[in-house]
Amino acid sequence: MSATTYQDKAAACWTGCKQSYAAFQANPHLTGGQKLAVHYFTVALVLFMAQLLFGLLAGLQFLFPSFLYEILDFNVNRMVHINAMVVWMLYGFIGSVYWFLEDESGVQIVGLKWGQLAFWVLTGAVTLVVLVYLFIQFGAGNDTSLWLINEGREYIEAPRWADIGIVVVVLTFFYNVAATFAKGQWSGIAGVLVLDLVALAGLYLAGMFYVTNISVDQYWWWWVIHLWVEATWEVLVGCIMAWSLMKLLGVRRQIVQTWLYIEVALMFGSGILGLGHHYFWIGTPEYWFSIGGFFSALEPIPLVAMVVHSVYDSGVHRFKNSNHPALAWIIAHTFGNFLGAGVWGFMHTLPQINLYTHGTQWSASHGHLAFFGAYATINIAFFYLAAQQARGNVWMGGDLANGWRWKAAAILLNVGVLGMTVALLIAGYEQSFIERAVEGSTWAGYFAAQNHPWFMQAMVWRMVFGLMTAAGGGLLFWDLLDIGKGEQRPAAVIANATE
Amino acid sequence: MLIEPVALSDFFLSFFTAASIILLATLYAALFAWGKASGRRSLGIAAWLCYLALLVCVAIFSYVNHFSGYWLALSLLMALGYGWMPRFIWRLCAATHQPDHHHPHQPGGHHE
Repeated sequence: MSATTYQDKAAACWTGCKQSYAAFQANPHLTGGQKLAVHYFTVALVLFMAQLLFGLLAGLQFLFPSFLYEILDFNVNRMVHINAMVVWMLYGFIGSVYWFLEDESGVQIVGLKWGQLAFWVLTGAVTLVVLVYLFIQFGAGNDTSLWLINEGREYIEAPRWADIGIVVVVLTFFYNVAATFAKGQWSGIAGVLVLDLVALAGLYLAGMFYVTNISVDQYWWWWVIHLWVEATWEVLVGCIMAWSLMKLLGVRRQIVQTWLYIEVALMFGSGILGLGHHYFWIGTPEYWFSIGGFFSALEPIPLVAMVVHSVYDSGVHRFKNSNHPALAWIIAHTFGNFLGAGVWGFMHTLPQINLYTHGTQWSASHGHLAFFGAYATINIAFFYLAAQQARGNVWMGGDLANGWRWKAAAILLNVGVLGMTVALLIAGYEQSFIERAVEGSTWAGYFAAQNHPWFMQAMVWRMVFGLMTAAGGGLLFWDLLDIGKGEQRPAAVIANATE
Repeated sequence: MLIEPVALSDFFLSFFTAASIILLATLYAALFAWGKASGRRSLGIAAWLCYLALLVCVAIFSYVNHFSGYWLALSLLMALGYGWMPRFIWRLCAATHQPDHHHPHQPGGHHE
């Protein structure tokens, strides 16, 4: 085809996109806040696909080390894989809060224009940062590269200009949430959410200053990685979950708010000082062994409590719901959170065993299931809530047209992630045993473990399950674009129990 | 060093019992709640058996990880916590659902 033909196709595509966007903006089923939420959900879904793609590339490089060598190196693929995950989670959380903000407060969002501006600024910045990661990720680090290319801290590699941008966007989000509740109605969920957003913006600052002592640097880095992710994100998800349970299952406000308060109390009681389990081997004082061990042992207790409440509630509510796919993902959240954060977490947090497992594939195993179970699942549940409402609050119960698609996507994604988790656990066990326990953490031990058949076989299985996860992701993407289209039946009505 | 790492021969036992503690704690909690909800005594007995197995796992875990003094107290506290928490949460559930008896859930139209 000639260049003119390509130009014509591009112009037609652009016109089609503009028309679709105009049709979306005119959607009468969505409020202003919900339209903004769909913007966030859309980018979150695209980043989720990017996470899967770069995860596959990084996984392949374990099996074929020369694959894309010096074109798209492992360190870049891994960095994009992890950062895409962090950012799509944030997009999903922000979108979820915007989704229910007007419903919860009873008034329109105060600074909707600011929220829209913040969305486009954030999306532009994320695009630019990813392009820089992919194309300008070579050479020595210095003060300039720290500001413009990569800040050098694992998981939060964003350059400093983007870091400042993230804080500004979160503060804009905070303003919108706090001011909207201030203008409308306050609730228990609103109070917890507003306080949590202060911590969400504040704790991120701990990863933005530079110190030359690596122990001190790691000390503060964990404030972002543990406290930001395992405390403020958990509370944020608690607020999102509380609201969704009221809407989806008709659970009474008193019940979800009581649980939200308990979760926050347990978070303060165990989660904050559970940070200590990251301080075992970074040069911090020995008292962190005791603090980290003690509070880490307490961290799974809320998850056990959740089981009792689930059994009690299933008897009371009998799982009547208005959106089957969303409920399925909330159930996946319950199991994934329990297994990933609870069981996999506790297996290696105490220092007696952590000495061997710290920083091996064991951590990756725990991380894969915990992030997916605790956060990805709840975001996906909200994607389905949004799809339902955007199509006119249509039926999403049994005998849904093409219902096999969401079920197959859920099975592939959940089995895929669980399979990767078990494969990485085997690899991590082998590493811990050979590299750390037998060889005493020497370089020879490191290479012996990396080349051991157990390790390689586990990585092959990780790849197989990774492909399964990617297939599930693709199916999810397709389903969300299509689910509910042409559906005429209205959504099942669940008793309004929110008062 | 403040802690003594697990012996190589006990490496598998250490993480296996750690995982079992959490899984058994959950099974105990679920059986306890299910037994209470259904009023079936057999489920209550099964719950106690799970808790017993949990105590055995805590003991093995503490032994292979060379727990003593403070760490042993931590194990005891953990075992007591997992035993007490399901009971506490059950009471809390019953209390928070109390008004349901006065204002039962309405069918609300089309339920599945």
